[in-house]
Amino acid sequence: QERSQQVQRYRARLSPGDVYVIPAGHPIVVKASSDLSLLGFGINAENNQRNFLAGEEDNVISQIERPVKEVAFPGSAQDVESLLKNQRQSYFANAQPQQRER
Amino acid sequence: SSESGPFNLRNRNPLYSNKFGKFFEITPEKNPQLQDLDIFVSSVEINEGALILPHYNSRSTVVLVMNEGKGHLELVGHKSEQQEQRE
Repeated sequence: QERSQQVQRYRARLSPGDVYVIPAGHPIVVKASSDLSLLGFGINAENNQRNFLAGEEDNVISQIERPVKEVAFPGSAQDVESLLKNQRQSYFANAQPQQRER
Repeated sequence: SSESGPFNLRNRNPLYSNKFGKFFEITPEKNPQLQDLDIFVSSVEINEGALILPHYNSRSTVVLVMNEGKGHLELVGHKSEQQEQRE
């Protein structure tokens, strides 16, 4: 079975009191339209690692070796690395593209 | 904190924090009560107009309970086999 698996996007509007289940290994993003407060309960928590796909700290994509980046992405390793460097914040960032900082 | 009494998530320093948000977390490694249940608890505050950058948990499935505010969530998964068959 060499069928390539298709990616599926799931989106939800957040309302107070709602509950969402985030399965292990599934990437997630939360954007706040007003000040937001969430509680998380993680099962199978022992040795869990939170891996980020953007930002400076704990970003697993920037930890990939250069030659591997070269073959994994369409751009060159240099292109990929300079793209990854653009997001200088870690963990939380501004979600409003029009209001540029710096 | 090796006590067996109640504990407060926000009594310790946040795991992640900047001007866009704060992330508090207590893991089983740090609390024997949580170790018994193999559960972590976290409290996340995201400021208006900000986001938590895309990430995933390596082992843990997380139940998120929305406490206050408004926002959007986006999750990436694979199409299930049932969905594929229907197409």
